[in-house]
Amino acid sequence: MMWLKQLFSRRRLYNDLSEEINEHLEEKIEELVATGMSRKEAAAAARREFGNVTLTEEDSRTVWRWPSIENFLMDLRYGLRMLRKNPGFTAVAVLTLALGIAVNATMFSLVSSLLREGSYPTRTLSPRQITSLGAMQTMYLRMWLLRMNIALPI
Amino acid sequence: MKKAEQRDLFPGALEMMILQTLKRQPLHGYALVQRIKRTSNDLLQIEEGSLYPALQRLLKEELVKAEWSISSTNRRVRTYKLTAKGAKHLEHEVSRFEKMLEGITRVLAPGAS
Repeated sequence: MMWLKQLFSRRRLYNDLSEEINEHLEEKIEELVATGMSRKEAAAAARREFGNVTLTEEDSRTVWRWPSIENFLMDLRYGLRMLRKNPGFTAVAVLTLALGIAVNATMFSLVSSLLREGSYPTRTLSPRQITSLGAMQTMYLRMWLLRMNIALPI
Repeated sequence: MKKAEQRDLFPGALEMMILQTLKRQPLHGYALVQRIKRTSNDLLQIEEGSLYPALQRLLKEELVKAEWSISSTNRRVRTYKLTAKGAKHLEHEVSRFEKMLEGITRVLAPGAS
């Protein structure tokens, strides 16, 4: 349950960290000011000795993260951002997918309803009869295509 | 995180020094880094910031615990304390380090073949 606790207390952890680093810099600045440095110089010197504050905070936060899932979410966000950035590419991709799915769904429901049209009690048929059922289905399909005025080289 | 570790002498060196310093007495981040710098006679150039990721790692592994308090200079500080688990870990790490150091010293010693 450690990870659960960490997940919820993370904000607090991060706040603690920021405050702590701030206090660190303040303490350093005060010490330098006490040696006779001006406050501005002291602030610059403190930051120089500390190193990159943002990077330090980031590195410290990384420790508490859940790398695989969070990286996946980051990749996902990155993907969405890129899609928004290239609307042309997005439109083509979405249309291609939509068209593909639509055509497949239509064909499936068409063939499915056609096959069901000539529904026989298939379970009671002998293998021989099933063969003839197949033939019947093709016939139904042809009839239907004829009815709908669709020419196919069947 | 990996890079921060590589900036150390070797992975875990900074953690070991932190634990050892905290073993003597609980300290807050700023005091801790000053202590390490002073104890090493400034031979180790520790970037003060590099302390914090290391402290977070130690916190996560429960080798140290932290508490907010008011320092003698009337400052709000987060004091780190070594846990029992941390003390055990430190002992283990130190003995491992000494073995490694001995090995390296022997190889580097003049006349070694």
